[in-house]
Amino acid sequence: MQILYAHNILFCMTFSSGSTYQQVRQALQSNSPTSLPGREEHLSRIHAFLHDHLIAGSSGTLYISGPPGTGKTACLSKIMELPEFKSGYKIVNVNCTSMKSSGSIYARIAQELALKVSKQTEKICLASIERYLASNHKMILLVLDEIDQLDSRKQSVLYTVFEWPSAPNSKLVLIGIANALDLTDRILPRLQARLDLRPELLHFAPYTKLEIVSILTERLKQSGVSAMFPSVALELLSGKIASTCGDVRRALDIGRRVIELAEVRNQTVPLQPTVDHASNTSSPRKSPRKNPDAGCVALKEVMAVLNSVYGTSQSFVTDSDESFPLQQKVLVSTLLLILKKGHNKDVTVGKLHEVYCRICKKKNILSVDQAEFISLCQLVETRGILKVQGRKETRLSRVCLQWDEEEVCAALKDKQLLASILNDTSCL
Amino acid sequence: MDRTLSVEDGLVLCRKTIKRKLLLPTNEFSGHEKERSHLSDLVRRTVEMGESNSALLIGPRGCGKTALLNSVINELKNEKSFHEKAFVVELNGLMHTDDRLALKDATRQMQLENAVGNKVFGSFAENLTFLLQCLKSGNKDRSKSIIFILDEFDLFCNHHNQTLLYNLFNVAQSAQAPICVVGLTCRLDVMELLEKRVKSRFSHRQIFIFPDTCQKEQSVFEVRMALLKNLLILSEDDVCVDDAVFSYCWNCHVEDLCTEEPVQNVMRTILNLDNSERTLRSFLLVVISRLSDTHPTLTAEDFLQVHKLWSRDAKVAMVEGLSVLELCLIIAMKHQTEIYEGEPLNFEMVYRRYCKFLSQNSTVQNVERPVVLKAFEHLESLELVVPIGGPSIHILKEFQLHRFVLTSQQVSDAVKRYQGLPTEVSQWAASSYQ
Repeated sequence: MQILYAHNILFCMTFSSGSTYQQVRQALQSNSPTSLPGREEHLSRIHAFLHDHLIAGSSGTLYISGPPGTGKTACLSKIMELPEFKSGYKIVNVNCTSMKSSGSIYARIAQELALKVSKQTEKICLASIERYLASNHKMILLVLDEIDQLDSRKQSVLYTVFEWPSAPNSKLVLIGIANALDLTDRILPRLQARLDLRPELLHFAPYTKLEIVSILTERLKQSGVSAMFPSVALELLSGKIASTCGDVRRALDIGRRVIELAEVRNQTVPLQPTVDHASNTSSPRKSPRKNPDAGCVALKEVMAVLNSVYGTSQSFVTDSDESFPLQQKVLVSTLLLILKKGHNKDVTVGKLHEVYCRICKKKNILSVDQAEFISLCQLVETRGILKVQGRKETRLSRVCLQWDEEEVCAALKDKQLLASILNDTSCL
Repeated sequence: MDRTLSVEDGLVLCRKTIKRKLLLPTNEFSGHEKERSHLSDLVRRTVEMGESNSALLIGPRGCGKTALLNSVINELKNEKSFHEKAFVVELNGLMHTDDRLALKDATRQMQLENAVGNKVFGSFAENLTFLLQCLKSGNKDRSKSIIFILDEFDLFCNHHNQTLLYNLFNVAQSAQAPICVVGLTCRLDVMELLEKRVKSRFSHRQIFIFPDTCQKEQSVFEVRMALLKNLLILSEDDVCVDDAVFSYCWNCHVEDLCTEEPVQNVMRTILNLDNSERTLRSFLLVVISRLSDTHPTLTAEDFLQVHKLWSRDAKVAMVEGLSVLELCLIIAMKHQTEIYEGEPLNFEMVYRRYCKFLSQNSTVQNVERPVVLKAFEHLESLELVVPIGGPSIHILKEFQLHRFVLTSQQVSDAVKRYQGLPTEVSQWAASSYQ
């Protein structure tokens, strides 16, 4: 109880005093930004595309591709906010993941266009949309986000949607957004046949290190807290993100977590009521308030967060070491022994148990019987280390190692007992 | 009124108290301080400052994921402002097996306008758009924050296109109503199940919980013994035992019991097998159930007995209950698999081996072939032999190939324990030359 109380107090304090941290976190929230550094070229292309079609009153198709978190939707929504398009176009913006089936997109579009439909069936909605397109109407801007979700048999829905702009007098500008670069070539090859159907393509490449750095600094500068994040830490963070995925969402999330770590470290210690003196590690001498740049983020914390995001399978070695029961460790090393040194790589639970019993006898460990052994296997399975396939006859079901053999092997080598099991081929 | 209870009443009450303690999960939660503060920090920021967050709690079964989350939520619920500021929506992957059910239940729990009483109207698409519009129209200053708790998170990943997860994480990423998505799962590789667009929207905040045993000055075993003591003693709070003398005696006894060698050995064996707290609790439940008027105190013998019961091989126990004829067939199968090194067998092979045994031992009564076939079918129905490739109508049942699923160790154990087995049979089981 007392601990909880202390905890509460601690919180009240951070909420009231730690406002700079709060500001930084606010700045790194992943809501739509006002400026998009590194995307000026794309912005101008989309702008030109929409502008030209608006002036000419013609139809057109644009397909935007790129991995997640590269600012596709953000760019587009920024352009759509511009007053000239807002007034010139009738904008229909649909995210296709919220559809139940691909056919229900028609009903949604009909609803957005405020058409009067007698029944909500696919056919009737489609017919009324087409009737509307043929009639005299305002320019329509149809934006379909995550367009690959409209995947259906023979791609009829996608073809229908992509063929709308080519209809005479349709005045429809279609913009599709998805991840795959070659979606239109791969699943819609018929579009290539006719010149007027072929969509314009625009690709968003993953962000580079410099771009991520500039995005983060921009956001921090806007809220006036750029002192919190030293540029070295930013460089480290961005370099790591850019080298793996170039996803800005991930960069922002990790940045937020780094801030949290820094906040925990810098909580004002002298006022904190402690339960016992032993746990009160920070003495007033080390109080962060006296240190001028104590508030900012340290490289150590950036590394800690990056490791926790990118290194899950390492947890076998570090986190769970003590909490991994002995018998389960023996089981894993038995499996490794068979996989590395045995002749037959096809391991069944029965065979694993035999070898395990021999090892236990040799090492003078109490061995468990088969029924217990099977439940042990299943316990290890929940950790994702191995997989038991074929549930019907458990003794004959196969055991596969899920993790990298070398990695687990290297982890087990440090332990005396397990290393000796791994080197003992006589038990096979 | 008589203040002191009789020994019997005290015992009944004590048994009741401890059983309740073992069975009912309490809101008190010990250990995992770091993870706990991380999580409560997260939820609290969602509620009080309108940040949107997502996190995954990962740990093996029975390590206290739900207990941790419940204790955090309960602590928040005790605060006055919580009900004005937040909603908790709980979904379970085992119950909400598809997005439609999950969505309906979420709508019901949030008491939105299209829910009347406990009924939710509209199709899936309508409900989803409605829910998303509700969330979109909110912002962080005005609207309540919503805490989504997704139990069995890995099952939500199997849904069609991961629609629900995508939409939840998308709301968490954009400036809409503040929500906090907390997933509970026991799969370490859960990140690999997510689609890339869902993965990109998830904040990669994984909180790992492994059984809390890594205190510095104590070994794993000492922590476990402390837990055992804690579960068994009667504390002051257990009000139903107001007999101070009885509870004092009981606690002293438990203290003594924990230092005994056999008890420690049993605990060590269980710990080596499985270190989750739930195993210990269910083990202790059986131990406590042995208390009675004639047996008022726990002894080390109880622990040993229960552990024996606990670790008994079920297959061996099943073989002990078979008739002599069926046991003979099992021995024949054991010989057959030993000689032909695990090759599958059919009835004819087993029958031939059995007949050979009969012809050499005149004392064992001869049985008709149909009776032996019946015995074989009985073994099949007990799944001591399993047909290969399932039962087939094209093959006569005598020739259907089977696999024998007992080990020779299990067979010899069963033979050793069988009551009143003819000597010839046990000799036959021991020799492998027949």
